[in-house]
Amino acid sequence: MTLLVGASPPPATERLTPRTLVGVEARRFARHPLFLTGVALLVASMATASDDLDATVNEAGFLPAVFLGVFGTVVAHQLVTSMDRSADAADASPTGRAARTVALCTACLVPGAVAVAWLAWMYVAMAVWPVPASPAYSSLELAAMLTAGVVYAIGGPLVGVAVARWVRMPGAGVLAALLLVGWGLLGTVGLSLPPSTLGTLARLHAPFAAWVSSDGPGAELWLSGGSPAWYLMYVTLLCGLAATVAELHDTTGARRARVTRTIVALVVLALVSLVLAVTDDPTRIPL
Amino acid sequence: MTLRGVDLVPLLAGCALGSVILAGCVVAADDSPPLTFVRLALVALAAAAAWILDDPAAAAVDAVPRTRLRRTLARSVALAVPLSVWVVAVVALDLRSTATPAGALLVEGAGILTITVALAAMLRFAGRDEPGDVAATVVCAAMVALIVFPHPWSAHVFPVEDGWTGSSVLWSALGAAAAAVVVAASRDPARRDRRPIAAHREEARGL
Repeated sequence: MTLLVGASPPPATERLTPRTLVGVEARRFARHPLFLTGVALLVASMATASDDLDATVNEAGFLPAVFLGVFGTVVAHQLVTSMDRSADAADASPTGRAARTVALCTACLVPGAVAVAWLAWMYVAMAVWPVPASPAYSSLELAAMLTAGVVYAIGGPLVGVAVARWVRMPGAGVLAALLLVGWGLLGTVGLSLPPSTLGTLARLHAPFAAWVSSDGPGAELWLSGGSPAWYLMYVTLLCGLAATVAELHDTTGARRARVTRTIVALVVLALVSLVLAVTDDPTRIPL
Repeated sequence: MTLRGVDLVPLLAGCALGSVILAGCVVAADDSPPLTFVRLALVALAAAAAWILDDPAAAAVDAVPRTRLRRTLARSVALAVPLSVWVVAVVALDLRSTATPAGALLVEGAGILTITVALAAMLRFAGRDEPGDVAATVVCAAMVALIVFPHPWSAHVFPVEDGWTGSSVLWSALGAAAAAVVVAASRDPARRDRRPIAAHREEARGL
């Protein structure tokens, strides 16, 4: 049967099942009260801050990072654990756990879609209420820093799925979200270090990076060093890593070996991206 | 008796995370404590406290001859773990940095932990036997949103430079109200109908 399936395209019902599963999980994600709360807070923040944009607009990625990414970690975790409660019935269905994990990971594109809408709105707002140009970053670097907001929004939920698959503990989702916030805040310590490659590494190893700071209250703002484009690549690879680690839980045999190789490759690529992001000029440029 | 029913894993995991963050805060504190990190640790402790009323065996335990209020009080002893972590950390911060508003932080921590338990008690009152997940999510989401994106009005809730007296008054009042809510929401389901027995008899006769 495997040979037959391999030789010809799968029947329409087989192709339909993963799509249906993704649709179901996406709808569950989109209807979750915490996700809706995060979206409401994001919209409220956009509404209040859009006409007051300044040169620190590159830091706006924190909004989707917290309201979609951090909140999404808990949402995704709850979706997985709620499905586990009906595991006996679900295990009897034609779709295996691995397929359901893939569907859940794909459903994490729901907050990503909201973040894309946020990104589009940011560009509309910048066109309507022009932001004073800053010599500290190019339009390409600004795009990379803002696009990281979309990646944060997808990455948090993917971590939630991975944690739910591997950690059988009540509250693991909330603690994972807190760990992500703590890791992100830990990265801001790099802003207080002298400008150096080590300081940039201390800041950019985190899954959320701050780029703007100052030497004290009322002092001039500066943009810290590092490559926004390579950092974007780094966090994107971290997202892939989270999804692959989640998938690893329910795979066996040759597929497991393939997934493990993918994880190793993603780790190496993420480290290379981080090194390239960090080795960029660490000089701080006034905004 | 029911303290053994408390799931120690989320309680200790949350406290461990909070302890690690607070230890880092104590080490890193110089002129003033890193309040953002200190409050992030408080979020972890609140998440830990949210699980103390979870009772997967509620259907069986509800039948034992012991009121829910007494069981709640017994379980509330577990609140001493996150509260102790908080008190020790605030005292350590105070010793390390004299600018630490120790009293206000202690009141703030006690208030938040009590509110978390009150929320869990309300959810349990509404019929949810394991309210920890929802209570932790709500409290943590609200706190993270306020800490990461402070608004002008949230300065009274989580002050940074001044306004500590107002904050202490606020958290004292909220904490006292939350304690009252815990007691009120811990009534046994069978005792919620407060009508006198005679009224029940009349109703039965009417039927």
